[in-house]
Amino acid sequence: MSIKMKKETHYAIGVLMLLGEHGKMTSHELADDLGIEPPYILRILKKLKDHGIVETVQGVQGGIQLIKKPEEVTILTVIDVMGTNVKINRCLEEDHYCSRDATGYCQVHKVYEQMQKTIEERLNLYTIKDLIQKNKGE
Amino acid sequence: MQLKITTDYAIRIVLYLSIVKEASSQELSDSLKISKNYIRKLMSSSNLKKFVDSKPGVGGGLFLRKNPKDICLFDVIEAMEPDSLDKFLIGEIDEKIPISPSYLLCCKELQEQVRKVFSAITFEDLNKRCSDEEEWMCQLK
Repeated sequence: MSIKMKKETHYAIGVLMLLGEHGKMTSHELADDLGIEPPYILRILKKLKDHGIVETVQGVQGGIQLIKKPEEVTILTVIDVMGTNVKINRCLEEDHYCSRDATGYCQVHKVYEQMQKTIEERLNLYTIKDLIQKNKGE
Repeated sequence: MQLKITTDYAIRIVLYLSIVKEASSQELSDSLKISKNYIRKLMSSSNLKKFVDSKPGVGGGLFLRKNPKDICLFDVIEAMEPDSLDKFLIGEIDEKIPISPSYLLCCKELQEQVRKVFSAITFEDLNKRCSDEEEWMCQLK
């Protein structure tokens, strides 16, 4: 499996864990904590804002905060929002492309489908809160 | 995060040969919609040779080295893309990227599950499932 997990997805998970743990933070604080440039963090935050996961609070005490609770943000949601493709084979994508045009009856496709369902169900069970708690050893 | 097309083709070839026992590269190409050149390329790599052997000559063809019950899906994936499952959902580990240890743990659990499922399915199992599928059999006849 050739995996091209986007760097942005790892950073987005990092951002959400920091916000889940510390509450409101500025984009500079987030960038410092994750060791990345502020313009890069803004790109990640834009995607998270566009999908209603975080919001900006204006003012002196302003910053970025979660809109949803950490237990409501699943890993699958973050992966989807950041545009990482988690389909384990090409034939599982929306157009069901197969050079044999066999997705309707191919037994290997059925195995892939079942595996994909399990993977997505699992990724939908893990939340940002779980990751924070596991890191703390809870 | 997908199987490479060469892995997908290798799985198709092993499954096809587990059903028909022996086939020419022309037959594989026609039935599996893989170009003959690609089949030749796959056969010249040592990865697929672990499972498929060839008999030269007029009556020759390609056949499996092992019984289909002794080859599981994971064997073929691992032979075609060594260690790729370890990167599943993680990608290349870059020390500059702060990947949360708990996220890594969650990925490792999923990787293990994928490994278990793909290791539990042999080509004999797939072959049996195919025998029940009328359409698939029609494709072979």
